[in-house]
Amino acid sequence: MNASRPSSASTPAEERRAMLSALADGEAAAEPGCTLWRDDAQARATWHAYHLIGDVMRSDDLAARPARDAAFLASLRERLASEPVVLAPAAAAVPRRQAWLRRAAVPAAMAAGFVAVAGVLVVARAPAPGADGPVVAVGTPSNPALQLTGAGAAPPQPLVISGRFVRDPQLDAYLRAHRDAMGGVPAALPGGMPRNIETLAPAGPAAAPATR
Amino acid sequence: MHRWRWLPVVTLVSLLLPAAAVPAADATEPADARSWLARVHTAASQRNYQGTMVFSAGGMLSSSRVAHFCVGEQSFERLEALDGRQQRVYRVNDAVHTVLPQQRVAVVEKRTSISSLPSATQAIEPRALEQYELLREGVERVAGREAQVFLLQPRDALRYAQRLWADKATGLMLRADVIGADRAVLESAAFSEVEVGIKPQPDSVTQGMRNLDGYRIVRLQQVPTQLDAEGWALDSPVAGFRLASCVKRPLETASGDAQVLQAVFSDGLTHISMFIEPQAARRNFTDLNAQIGALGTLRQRRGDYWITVMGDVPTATLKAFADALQRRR
Repeated sequence: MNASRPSSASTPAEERRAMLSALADGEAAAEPGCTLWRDDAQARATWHAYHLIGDVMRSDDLAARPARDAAFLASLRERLASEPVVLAPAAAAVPRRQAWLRRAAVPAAMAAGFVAVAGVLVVARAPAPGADGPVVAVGTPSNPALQLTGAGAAPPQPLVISGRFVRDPQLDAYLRAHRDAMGGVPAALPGGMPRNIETLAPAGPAAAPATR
Repeated sequence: MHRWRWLPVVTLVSLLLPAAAVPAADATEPADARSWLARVHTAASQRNYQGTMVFSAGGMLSSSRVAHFCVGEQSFERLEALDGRQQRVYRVNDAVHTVLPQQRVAVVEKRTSISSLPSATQAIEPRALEQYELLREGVERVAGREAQVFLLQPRDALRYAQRLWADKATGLMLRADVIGADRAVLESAAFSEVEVGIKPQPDSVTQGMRNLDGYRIVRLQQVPTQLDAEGWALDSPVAGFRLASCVKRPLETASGDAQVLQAVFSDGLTHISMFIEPQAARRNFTDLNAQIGALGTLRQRRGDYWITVMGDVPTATLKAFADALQRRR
């Protein structure tokens, strides 16, 4: 549309329409058209009409009923409202699985570090263990939090080696029985190598006095 | 010009016989999976070698000096832990002495795999190929030797994959990795250096077994038994695993010796132990689900008994075993 110069004889409404149409055509500065658009509902309706006219002129597909747009917007708002709130923004470029791992790794690492520190403090303060051996915490693969299992009548003394898993002296005997179950197997075969699980974790003062 | 007539024949022949194009050094290597597995097993049992093996799991390392001699039909082995608590293991065929110098304790046992299956004592049985597919991967250098890499890919999700590095010259296993889901290496056992074809020294093993002055000797007796004789049965056997042995044996724990029933199931490559014991002996057990490296442990209460299932398998398989076990009487 041609920009029409407002003449002294045009009404304020015509002036506003002219301003909007100039803005729509990109021939006017942003102000004061934008302020008009923001403040005046009638101006917004006019703005929408101008753009609809332009769209329909360019393509027949865009000549849809206004109810369709409204319905789309309403359903979009509904879906947005029902999605859980993400408190920590994830990086847009990271694939979903990596983003989950990264999000889970930080709190798990913090928990591990915390537990390791707590474990060191407790071991340092623990009294000399009795013959019953220490209590140990065992981590489940899915849950980095630790649970304590009792080992004897002595008061529980956690033996945390790392935040990930803990050596359980009770399990050691089962482990040896399991490992040695396949008869005289040479070490140079899969499963033949003696897994010194008991040496994987440093033997602290609370190590169980096993007979082997 | 007449020479060119033979070209298509030669090309066809060389395509049909790829072995002909392989250099002579590989001509002694077996072509099929079964023979390769047998070669690895034979090398481990019948060759004389010694070296240092490093075992790693979950970021922790532990190394041992390993020596193996074969004289006639007899197999001698000596293992010495280099990290952590001092421990030496001497083995002559089935008799094993575990010596702990710091505690002055020697454990003596005869590790016979009591089973009707004669091949149950092998670590890799040909039967493993029913559960795993042997895929040949490239050639790598391990411990200063050229090794052929194999992947034992499980045919179902009940077990872990394992990658083997077998020495090209002798077939000796130089490295073995247990690979879990997502292709993560759960644990690894590898020679950092090894000499193969050394002079056998069986005396170093037998002397270590006899030199036990001042040691407290602990003898572990295993009594063979049957699962149903003890009142247990496996309702729906887990696919691929067969019963390899069932014994009643003592288990030294902090609260004293106790007799447990140990049933071992094997799929040809890996094995699972199921321990069953009455709950009266273990008042302070709780349910347990733990994983150390590739080894998973599951402990559950079943009526008046504690069931502990252990093995290098995913937790789902351990659970399948625990669920399949039923009390008969």
